[in-house]
Amino acid sequence: MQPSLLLRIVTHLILGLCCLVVLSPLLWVLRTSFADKIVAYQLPPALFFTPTLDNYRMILVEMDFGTFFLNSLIISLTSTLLAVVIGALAAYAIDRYKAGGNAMPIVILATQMMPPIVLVIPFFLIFKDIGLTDSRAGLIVTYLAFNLPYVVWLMMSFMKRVPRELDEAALIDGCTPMTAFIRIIVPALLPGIGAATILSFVLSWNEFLFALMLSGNESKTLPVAISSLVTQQGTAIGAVSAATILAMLPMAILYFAMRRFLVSGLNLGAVKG
Amino acid sequence: MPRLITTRLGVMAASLLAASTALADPAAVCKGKTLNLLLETVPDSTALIEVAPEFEALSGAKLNMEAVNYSLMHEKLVPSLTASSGSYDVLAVDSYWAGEFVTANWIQPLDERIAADKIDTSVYYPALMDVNGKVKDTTYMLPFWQYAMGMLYRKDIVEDPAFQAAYKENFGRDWRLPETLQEYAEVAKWAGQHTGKAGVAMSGQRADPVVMEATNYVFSLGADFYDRETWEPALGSPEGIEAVTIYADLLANAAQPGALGANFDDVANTLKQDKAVFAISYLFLMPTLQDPKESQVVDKVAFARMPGEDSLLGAWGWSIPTNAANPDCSWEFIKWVESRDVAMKRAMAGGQATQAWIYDDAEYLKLWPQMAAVGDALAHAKGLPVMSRATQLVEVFAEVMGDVLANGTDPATAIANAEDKFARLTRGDPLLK
Amino acid sequence: MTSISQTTRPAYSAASPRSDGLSTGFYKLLFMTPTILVLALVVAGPLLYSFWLSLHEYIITYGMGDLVWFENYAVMMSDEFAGVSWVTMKLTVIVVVLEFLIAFGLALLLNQSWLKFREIYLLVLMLPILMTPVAVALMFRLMFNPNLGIINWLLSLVGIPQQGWFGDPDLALATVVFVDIWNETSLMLIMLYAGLKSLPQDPVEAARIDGASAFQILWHVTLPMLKPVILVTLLIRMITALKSYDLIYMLTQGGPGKVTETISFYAYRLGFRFLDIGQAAAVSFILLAAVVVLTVVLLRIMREN
Repeated sequence: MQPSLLLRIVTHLILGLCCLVVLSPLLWVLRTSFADKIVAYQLPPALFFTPTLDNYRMILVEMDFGTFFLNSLIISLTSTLLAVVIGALAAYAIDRYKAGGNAMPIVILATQMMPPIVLVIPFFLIFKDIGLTDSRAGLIVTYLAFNLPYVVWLMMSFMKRVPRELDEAALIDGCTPMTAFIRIIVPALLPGIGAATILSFVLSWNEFLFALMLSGNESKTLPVAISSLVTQQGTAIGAVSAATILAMLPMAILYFAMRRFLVSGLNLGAVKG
Repeated sequence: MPRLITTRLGVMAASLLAASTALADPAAVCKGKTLNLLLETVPDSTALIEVAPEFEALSGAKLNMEAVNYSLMHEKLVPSLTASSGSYDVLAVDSYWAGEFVTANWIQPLDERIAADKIDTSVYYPALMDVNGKVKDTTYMLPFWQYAMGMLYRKDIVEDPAFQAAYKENFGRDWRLPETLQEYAEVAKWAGQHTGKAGVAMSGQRADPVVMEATNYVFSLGADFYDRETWEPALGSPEGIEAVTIYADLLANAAQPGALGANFDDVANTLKQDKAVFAISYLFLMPTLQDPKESQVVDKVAFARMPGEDSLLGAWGWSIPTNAANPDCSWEFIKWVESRDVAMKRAMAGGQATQAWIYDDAEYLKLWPQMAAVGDALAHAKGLPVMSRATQLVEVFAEVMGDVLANGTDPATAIANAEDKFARLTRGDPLLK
Repeated sequence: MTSISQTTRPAYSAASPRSDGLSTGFYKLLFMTPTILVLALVVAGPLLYSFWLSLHEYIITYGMGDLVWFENYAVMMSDEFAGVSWVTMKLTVIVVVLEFLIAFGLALLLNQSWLKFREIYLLVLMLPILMTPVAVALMFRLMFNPNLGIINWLLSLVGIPQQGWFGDPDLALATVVFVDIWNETSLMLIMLYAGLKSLPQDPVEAARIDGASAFQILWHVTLPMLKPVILVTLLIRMITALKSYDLIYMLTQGGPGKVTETISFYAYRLGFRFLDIGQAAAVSFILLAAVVVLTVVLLRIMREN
């Protein structure tokens, strides 16, 4: 069904404008990543300047950002994968079986309602004792625990959209709750899984405070590495920009998740009950 | 720059070790150990990372150096130092943490080690030993980085005959660098109007930026936060109030736009982009002001001591945490890193040396001519009070400044309102008895 | 499509045995254990320990002091706390509401079946989420720099006078809000868009055949069905907004004065600058309690509607 031309133009105008608001600062970041400091702060801005790769050389060669990137990627991916699997199971149990009673969801979410600042010192002391400081495993476990409540809640809200008749029928047909979950719920839950994956990945990828406190050279993540470009002698703004641009590479992964789970809407058939 | 150092003990190193009996000492306590260091991301750290293999070669220890953003070091250190076994073996301690670290029993006294190894601490500027070496007559740190502050000014502008003629017409005297804070404020305001630039580049952002700048104004007029005998709050003195008043006046009437939200980096960039005539800031900005990749004012900026009585002095010092795993090896590292050779290498790389003789070295001065001003700056400088809660003093003074600058509260009232908070910070402090 | 109802159907009853002979109770346990275990092992300890700290006079420099019970909680009565609470409330409400409206509007537009370039729009709108708040703050400080930034320069081209942005007490909060919206709206957009994608199309089609207008469909069909997702999106965003301190830390340090100082940043200052960990913990638990109450109320309201 095609709506009126005016409606279509207005829609594209709004979306285009929003894209512009998102893109312009990013283009400025991209420009800055090829500029030295004198160009970065120059007004009126020089439109044509000799681009330099110094910033990229500095972060990749001198500062070993490759390692930090890999740390971030491993930590975020692993904690996300675990959070989504574990969280989906819990969401299923809570939504369909009222596991843990009515208070359970609130209790789970309440673990994430504290400002993290106060938790970080006990975290450090405990992790230090069991040898989890300066390790990827330590941050994976931390992010898993931090993101799990959000993932459970998000999945629960999507689960409510999956008609109960579907899995009830499967149970009556002799499925175990586990097989019903895998065969019926998961396919119908794909958009929710996609959203939860993105949410969890993004929160892990960008987390700063615990990454600062719990990491060392072995497990330093990108946000901590980027913050170390702010020095007493000045902020290496070009290098920050270069690092920021590189830190957006996993967008490819998220885009894949989005396409598969969000765009194609491959599950719609299953939902039609 | 943060870089993982995993240099291993090579064959070369082993033979070097065997050849030298004098160096057997570090090897005896360090062999096979790993030393973890937390550093700030400054040029000095980069230089250190470059020469680190030398220490690894002569000691047999592995150095694991982690460099982070300076403002986050305190956050990162606090949990680590409260733990029973530490993450770090050598610490860089900012001068205003010294009291806190000593009271909390986080760092070890060094006097016995200094005496045993006959380390000559007189090579350091005495002012630096006072703010970042000794606490209550016990040595806890060896200074490795000085934070001298003073007046940065555009020498090309003020030496211009036309500027000087206009100056004479306006002030009725020949050009001279401002000698008091009041004169500085007058000249800066006028210079701003005369040149169309900001008279001063200022950093009014909360906590460190505003405090480290405004404290110079306070010390310049001879005021202080406390009476350093009785430890009663003293910022409410007429000089203290005047210092805050002058600061607020300059920020509103002579600083670059948005100075209230500006930090150190913004001040530096304002100068580098030819947008300001004066600034009260760090001497260590000079090398970056001379870098043609960052600065449009290469060779146009000069440094002079703070007008008036004193400037604020800060420093970093090496220390050994109480919970260090191998304090003997930590000490070997500190000895090595502050040895003449290594200290000179770090200075040549852009580090801010603390040993006085370096600033007399011809080769050094050839590379860093602007740094010759350091002696004069340090002769007229004093640190924040060495007290257990100096970190909090910075916060409380920042609140006072915020109240004046953002809310427009009259300085006398703002200081009076905070008097209680100032008083609470010294109460029960074991260092002040 | 009335599956939102909470009534338990016979098929889920705990009594009925399965073909594999395992009870429903076993499966409940199996599904819940990993989550409970992770939260109990990782978060519960630090939470309880923090609560213990909040009952003590504990300035890290001086070591653990006396058990003072709820004395630290008296901070609630101070003007300072009232001030940061007010800033927190303003910031959270503005940010969550604006981001929700923008994100929901965009999600609806993107969900039009006829829309061309949908994937390009989606990809672009997703871009900000992988920028860590540290980097976002540094970049916007560069662009909003009052005398060296591109934004004031562009404004000057059209004759608008220079603004102080983060350095202007009247503008600082609004500027922080702008940066937050730029950075965080995408995440909400994705959650809401996923919610729309998961909606069954039948009721919408049925309503359309009945001659309902687009607005009527949105109000009477889409919104009620999307309610759980909207609620969770708002909740998650509200909690992350209340907790976030890194953006404030990098942008303004709570200044000028205290106009951008939130409870989280206040707790951070108490804990890491004043090293008054007992007080910082108390402030955090006050916030925790407030958020729990807020959440329960929000859930009640949503359920009653």
